[in-house]
Amino acid sequence: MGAVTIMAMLSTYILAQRELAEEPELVALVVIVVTTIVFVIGHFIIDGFTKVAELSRMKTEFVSITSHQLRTPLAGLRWSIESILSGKYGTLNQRQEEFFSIIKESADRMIKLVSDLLDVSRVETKEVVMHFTSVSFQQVIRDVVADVLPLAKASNVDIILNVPKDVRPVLADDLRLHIVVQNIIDNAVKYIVGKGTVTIELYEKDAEVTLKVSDTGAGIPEEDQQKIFQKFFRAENVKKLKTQGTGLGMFITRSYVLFMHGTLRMESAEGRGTTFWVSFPAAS
Amino acid sequence: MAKNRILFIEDEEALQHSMGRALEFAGFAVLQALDGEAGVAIAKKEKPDLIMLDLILPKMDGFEVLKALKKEVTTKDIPVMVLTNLESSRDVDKVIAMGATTYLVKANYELKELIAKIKETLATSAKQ
Repeated sequence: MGAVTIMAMLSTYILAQRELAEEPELVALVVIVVTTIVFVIGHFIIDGFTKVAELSRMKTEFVSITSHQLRTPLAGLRWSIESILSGKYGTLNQRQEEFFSIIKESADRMIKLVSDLLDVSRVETKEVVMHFTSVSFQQVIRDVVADVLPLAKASNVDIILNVPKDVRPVLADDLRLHIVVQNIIDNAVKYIVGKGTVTIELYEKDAEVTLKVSDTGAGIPEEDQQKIFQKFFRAENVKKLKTQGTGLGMFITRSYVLFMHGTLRMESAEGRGTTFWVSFPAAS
Repeated sequence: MAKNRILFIEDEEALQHSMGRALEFAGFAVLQALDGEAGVAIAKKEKPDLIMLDLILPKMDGFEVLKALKKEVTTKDIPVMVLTNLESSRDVDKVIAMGATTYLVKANYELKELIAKIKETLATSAKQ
């Protein structure tokens, strides 16, 4: 700030000298006025930037502390219910098991919501730190499918895999790639009403590896297709299905794909299903 | 065969209770500490086979506990799994650089998944 002020003074003095050589008092006045204006404006600008940086830091700290404070009792709740459901504290009757399963499901949803909010906060404050490594897309898909298989079976959804072994790994952040693939495949399974199919394909073309996920689910109405990437947005047709969701998954997915220098594309038709393509550069 | 002994350093009693029972059912002997200072003292005295360590603790935080454990000859080789609800890349990098084996976010794991990770860590540690 001091250097800027001095430069402003010198520049003004030199210019004023040229224009007002006969009137040194006027030169001095002009220099003082211009310098004061520059100093005051500069002070407000720098103060503004400092306050913005401080607010950003406070927001990050608030989110970090809040998510910790929220997650701790939720973890306690989840672990306690898990212990009860496992029979370690005695055998439950059917009604008791149903009630505790409902409580566990609620705890799991709250934990997911806190995690999603934390991810959103990181994306918005650009605090996402990516650790790029060579990641096996095939392994990520296998992990996610293993996780989602019980839900798929319970929902009468078939999963068809076409994931060749010879497709190269991708340059990505392993954890975030898991989140991206999990969100896409979870949605594909979740939004199928009745019997249906999710087809998962992996292929390589032009030094890019692409994951294609197609479902025979509810599809997305045309007027909602761009909105699904907004925070907390859920299309009307899936709200009617009463399927649970935070409305943050697609926002997080698209953000992470972009942070990993990938591309995300979608096509959908209401009542017929949705296809997502997500591509990343192949690792050398 | 002697049971593997796990020291769980965690200030939340509900988590101590549920994790403690789960570890016992899984066949482990459990040692418990509700603050960092007690955790370090028990680790030095009992020399457990594995330590599970929270980061936000009264009296001495998890980072200081980890530093103390890695400084001490009798405890520096005990594998430490950090089990916390903080989730910042800075914290992860810091604890791994300080010698922790793993960094896990408590709320993201069910008990049975954590037990599996504990067994995996003990098996890896036994091979070394």
